[in-house]
Amino acid sequence: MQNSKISVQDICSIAIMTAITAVMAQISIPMPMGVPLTMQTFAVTLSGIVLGARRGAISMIIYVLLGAVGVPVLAGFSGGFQHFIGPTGGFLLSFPVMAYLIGVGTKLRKQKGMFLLFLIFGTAANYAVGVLMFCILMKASFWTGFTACVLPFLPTAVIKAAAASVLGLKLQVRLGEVMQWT
Amino acid sequence: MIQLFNYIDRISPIHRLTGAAKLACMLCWVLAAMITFDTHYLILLTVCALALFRVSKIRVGEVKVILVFSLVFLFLNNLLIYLFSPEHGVSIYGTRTELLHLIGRYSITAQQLLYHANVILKYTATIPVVILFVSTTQPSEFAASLNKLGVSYRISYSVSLALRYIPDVMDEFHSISMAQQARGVELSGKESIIKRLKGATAILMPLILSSMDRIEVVSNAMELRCFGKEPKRTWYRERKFTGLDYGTIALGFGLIGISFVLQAVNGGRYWNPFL
Repeated sequence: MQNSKISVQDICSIAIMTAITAVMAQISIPMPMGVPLTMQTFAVTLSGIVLGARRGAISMIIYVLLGAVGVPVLAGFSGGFQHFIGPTGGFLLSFPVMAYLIGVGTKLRKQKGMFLLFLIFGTAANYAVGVLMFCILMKASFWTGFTACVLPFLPTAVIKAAAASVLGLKLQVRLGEVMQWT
Repeated sequence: MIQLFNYIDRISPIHRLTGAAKLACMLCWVLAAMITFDTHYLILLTVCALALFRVSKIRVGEVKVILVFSLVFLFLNNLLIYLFSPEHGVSIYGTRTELLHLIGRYSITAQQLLYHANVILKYTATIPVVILFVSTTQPSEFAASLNKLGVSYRISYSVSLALRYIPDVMDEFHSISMAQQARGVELSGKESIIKRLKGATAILMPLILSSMDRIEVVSNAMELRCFGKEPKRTWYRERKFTGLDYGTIALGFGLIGISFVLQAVNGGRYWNPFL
């Protein structure tokens, strides 16, 4: 019964992670090679690790919903439906999938290599949907979309994934004890 | 700090609509604007959107921040379209009227200009309506509306909670950032990457932990008040549907209908003046 329903603690943790994502989306650390290290996808990875697959996905669905109806929670204090049907909309729309996959990996992390595998799956899914939508809307070739949307961001993506994993797994262990998540 | 879900309290017909009706109409409006490339229809939607703004009594200055960021997004979007697909308009409208050759494969054609005009109109037709929804809908009433649309009340309450948490987390981030910078943490370009990452961690770790602390306090308080015990709940801020609400929803579907009719009339999504 407890597993099939969303508990009050789940509701609060989902809400707080949505708020954390909204705040982190505004944080950007300048990098020497020119592409800033933005914290939005860091927060998505974190929500998958800390909250687990289902709660993490719900958290990101709420984040995406708020962004879609116009609440300025997206990067650069932006919001509105137009972001989701614009060229970069695919990245935003796939946040719930990304969080879910990374959450699954977190649950299976005692099996050797599974966490890393799902971390890569989740991030790759985000990029795949993002590039696909970019190519469709921009009438660009896949290679063009890949070089524009993925290649410049790979170094910071790796840094973010690694940092989110270290931080997230620590948090997950502590919060898992407090929340009695299995 | 910037206010989120910038609810601006006024007495106006739009404020009196339920959040569900406004949400449904806004989504229909945006869909209608995105489906069509008929320039006349997009202009009409833009004029109507601005008229609604006037009815709501929201002043432009009050939503200036969101407006500016939206316009930046609009500019970048058009720039991207041109950079990646400079002859897109030509392939759509079937003819080519070059006005000015720039460099390489980049020229300015009448067809491309019309295409960009349509893209801009799509945003001018939708951005005011989106901003209006945010400005005229009370967050708690929005949660009640989501529940009415079929979302579990637990999830819709999560939406309401998230909206309340965002300013708190933002304030917390600011406080922690100031405290850590007072201790020598440097996040600007003066420091190496490693030190900047360590600095970011020094801010994010306490931010997340202190945010997670709220979960225990708030969820205990909610449970002590019997939240989640029943399969349904009532809403303090819920509003009854009136004729105006049904009319608003009908308007939304009507707009989509017009979009599809125009597809038939124009022989496609585009109105083509170059034929």
